[in-house]
Amino acid sequence: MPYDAEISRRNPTAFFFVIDQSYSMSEVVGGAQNSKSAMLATVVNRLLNELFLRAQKGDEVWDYFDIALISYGNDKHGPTLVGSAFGGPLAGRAIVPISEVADYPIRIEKRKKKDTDATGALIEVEVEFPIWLEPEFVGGTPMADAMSYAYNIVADWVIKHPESFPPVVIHVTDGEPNDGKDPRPAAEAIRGLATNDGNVLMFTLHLSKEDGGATVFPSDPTRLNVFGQMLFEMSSVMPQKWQVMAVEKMQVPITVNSRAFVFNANIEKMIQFLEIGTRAPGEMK
Amino acid sequence: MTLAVDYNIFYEQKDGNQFHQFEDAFALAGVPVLRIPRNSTRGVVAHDVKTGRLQLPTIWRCAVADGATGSGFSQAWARLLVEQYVNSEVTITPDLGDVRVFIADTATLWNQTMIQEILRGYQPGSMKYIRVKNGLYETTQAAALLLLEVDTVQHTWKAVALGDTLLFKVDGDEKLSPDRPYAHMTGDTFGNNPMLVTTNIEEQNAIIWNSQHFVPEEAYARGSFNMNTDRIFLMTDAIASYYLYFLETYEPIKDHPTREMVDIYKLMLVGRSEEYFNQFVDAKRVRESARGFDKLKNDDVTIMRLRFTDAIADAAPFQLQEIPPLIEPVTDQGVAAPVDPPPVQSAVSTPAGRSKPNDKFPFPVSPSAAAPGDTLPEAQPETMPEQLPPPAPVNVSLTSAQASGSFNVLDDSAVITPAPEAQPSTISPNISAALNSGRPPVALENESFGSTNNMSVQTPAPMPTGRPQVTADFGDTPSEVTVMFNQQNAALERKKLKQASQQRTQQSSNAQPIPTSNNAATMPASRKKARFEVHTQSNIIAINDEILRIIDKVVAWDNSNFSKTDLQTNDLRATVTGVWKNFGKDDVYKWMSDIADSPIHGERRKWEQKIRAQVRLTIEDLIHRRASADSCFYLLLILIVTWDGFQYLSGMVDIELPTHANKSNTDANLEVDIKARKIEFERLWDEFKRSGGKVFPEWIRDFWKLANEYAVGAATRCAMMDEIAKINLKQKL
Repeated sequence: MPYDAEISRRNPTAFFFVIDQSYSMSEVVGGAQNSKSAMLATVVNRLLNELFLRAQKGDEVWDYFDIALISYGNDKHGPTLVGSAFGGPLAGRAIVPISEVADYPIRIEKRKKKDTDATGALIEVEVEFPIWLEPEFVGGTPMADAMSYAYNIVADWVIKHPESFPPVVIHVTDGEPNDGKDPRPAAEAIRGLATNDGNVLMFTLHLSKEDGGATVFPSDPTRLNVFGQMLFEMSSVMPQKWQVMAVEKMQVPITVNSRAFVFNANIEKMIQFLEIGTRAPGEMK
Repeated sequence: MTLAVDYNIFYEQKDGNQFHQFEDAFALAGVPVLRIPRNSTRGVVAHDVKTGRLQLPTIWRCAVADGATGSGFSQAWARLLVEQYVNSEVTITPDLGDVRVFIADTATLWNQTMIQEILRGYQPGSMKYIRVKNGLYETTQAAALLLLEVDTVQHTWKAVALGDTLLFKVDGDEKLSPDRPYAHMTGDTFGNNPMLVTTNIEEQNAIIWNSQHFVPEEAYARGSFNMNTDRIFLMTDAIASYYLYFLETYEPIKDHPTREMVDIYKLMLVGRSEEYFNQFVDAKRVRESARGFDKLKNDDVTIMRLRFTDAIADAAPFQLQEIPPLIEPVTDQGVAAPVDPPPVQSAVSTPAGRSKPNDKFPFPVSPSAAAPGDTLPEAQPETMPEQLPPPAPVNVSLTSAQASGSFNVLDDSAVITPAPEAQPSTISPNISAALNSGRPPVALENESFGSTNNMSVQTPAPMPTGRPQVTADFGDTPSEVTVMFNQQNAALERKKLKQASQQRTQQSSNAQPIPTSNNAATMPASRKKARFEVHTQSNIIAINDEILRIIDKVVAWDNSNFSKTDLQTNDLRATVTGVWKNFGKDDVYKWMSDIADSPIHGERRKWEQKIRAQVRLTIEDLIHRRASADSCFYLLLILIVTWDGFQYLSGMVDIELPTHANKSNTDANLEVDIKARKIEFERLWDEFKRSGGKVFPEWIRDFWKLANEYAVGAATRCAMMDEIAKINLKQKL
């Protein structure tokens, strides 16, 4: 059975976040007060926090996961507009073991969090919130170049980890590519990569400024617009092991042809989708 | 005090983890608790933490727990639970009322006190502090828990099992008690019990106490015991599941117990050593990896074995022990400085009044200790420990460049005296000794695992220049012991070991021959074993020769079909041989020794992965050359079978030899098997071609799986072992 390998330090898995930082990400995301970019950064930072907590044993973080943060559209990456989104001590690194991710955020923010006290009353507590991804939004949307960039990193990782649980690529975007190139061939190439446990999975999340009207895990692209159809084709068919999780989490019908894709996601769908994408069903050892 | 307990705890961490990452926990009232400093070895744990004889109060408690893998501080939580329990006055009742209160109180203690205590070990504001704090506050810790309460006046016991843990009792006649506790637990259902004990009281109420699936009567058990004979065992899930599987599978047919059943029987009932247990676990995990025997999963393993006795004269007096901090404060790199100095670990000290490290092993292992009515009688008399002749007192010399001394097998003690020219500062406090298997035939047959067993012994630090006491827990195995020193002397010692091994090989052919195919033939077929050591260059070469011979044999098995492939037999043989030899081309001796002598299962898997990776590359090369699928298939087949053979020859695994009935049909079985595999394989090959190569990853995976199934299939193994049984490698040497 594919997608059955246990996740261990000897055979870790990997998550590749490919994040659109084009100017349109400055728009407010549906259902929230902040920009898509800011909300996405918050969600990704929270996910990274949860990933390292899942890998933490006592005060040690075991390298169950490798993490890549790739952003595109940002001119800080030079003429290609694609590169690592890590900052601080990890700046410039394409892929980083989770133990290093855990130890080297860009900064720590103090944030308020709702919690319950010993009597069950709702209270607000201050928590330390590590920041790895800063919200940024500049420039265009070189999606094809981003896919090519990701392909090279994923291919390198897969070659080095033939026995691992296959990596998951999570692509988050809000707009059409404007570089005149078709990103589908590169995305198909990424999906064609495989470890001995199965093919690389491509999850695609399209953010909307509207709050509602999301298309979740579609199996038929004909009702989507041209851009939606392109993202649909770029996404993997949802493997069976994720289907159960997706049904439970998002309460939507899943078919065998459903793609790992949400179109026009609002903030709620964005959170749910990213949690599903980063919850590999492999058992950690 | 009218009663004492003989206790032994066998435990091993998950393969791939360091010793200090062991997440099971155990505690016995009156016994120092287990603490494992970071990056330490087994030798750091004091003898009386895991073995001893202890006087008991009227009511005595002990417990084991299994920290859940998914929670980051489950090790600390599991320890807190068992250590709080054994120092408490909790009474186990059928409604578990006291237990419920105890667990809630312990969760409160964790949330209100222990979290802060743990955090005090870290520098506030440091990243490690933030990580630990987030982990403690944002995740729930969980553990399976087994509590035992013993009434030493009434000779009764009560227990509660929450989550996947198991208690069972063996009566003095070596049979499981007819009123087996927890009889509803089976090998099939074990491993899926969600009723873990957690730090979140609300969650705890939901998954256990208020759950409609929870039946207190099933978690509760009680019984009585007879002094000096009955034994009670507490187990965590991995070994319990393994035990249940064999119990359910083979108990009805005790007249024909399998090798596995005999192994676990010996492990449970007889006074086996810690060393034996670790070898046992390693071997079962090796089998899992190499042969698909998915019975002992890779997890932390703990067995607590108890026997109550009225021989209290030589038992340590009862005294409740202090509990040291749950987590060792951090001192590394100044990232997070501990507030308090590191405590003295009771686990590595011997409190006054406790048994000394060189006290006699509490379970007599001589035949007189066995009660009549063994449950595994006539079928395999030569394998039952109770029927072995009593081990003679053996004083084995310890010699090396730096020290000399002696080792007494029966009282498990050794003394080492550094040589006059030795510099004390160069001797490691932890001396590791290699237990060599150049032993008499009876011991070879009795000892099942590994050609070389590594162990470590504890000495005071720094090494004194006098005659330090060294403990060594060898159980009943007469053995040669060679002392090895730390890294600076390792190269010298390896050289000496190699020379000594060659000398032993020569001597053993005269004095104490290891069973050859001739004398092995006098044993029942199901118990034949062949075992060879990988110690010498000539031995390696002999094994390599034998592997090449096996390759030829496998090719010949299906030569008629094989000749239809586009590669000629000789071409394929050359390819296979080349691949095989390629692994060891730089240093054959080191390569094979690394694999065969490694006590670490992970090392073997690493080598196996390398071999498999090389196989895959070779297949891809064959495909590139447009060689047929048939050729690829046979290449895979041969390499896998060869790997099987190598493991067997090098003593990494023991393989059952087939019964005579099976052997007679070996060739026919093999042919049928090959044809069936080929049909399925051709279907895959067609699919591959039709897809234009696009399904390659899936195809290669299915292809590999088929070939692997084939290689480890019964027919192949029968034929393989039939051939290997005829080999007398020792004679060649």
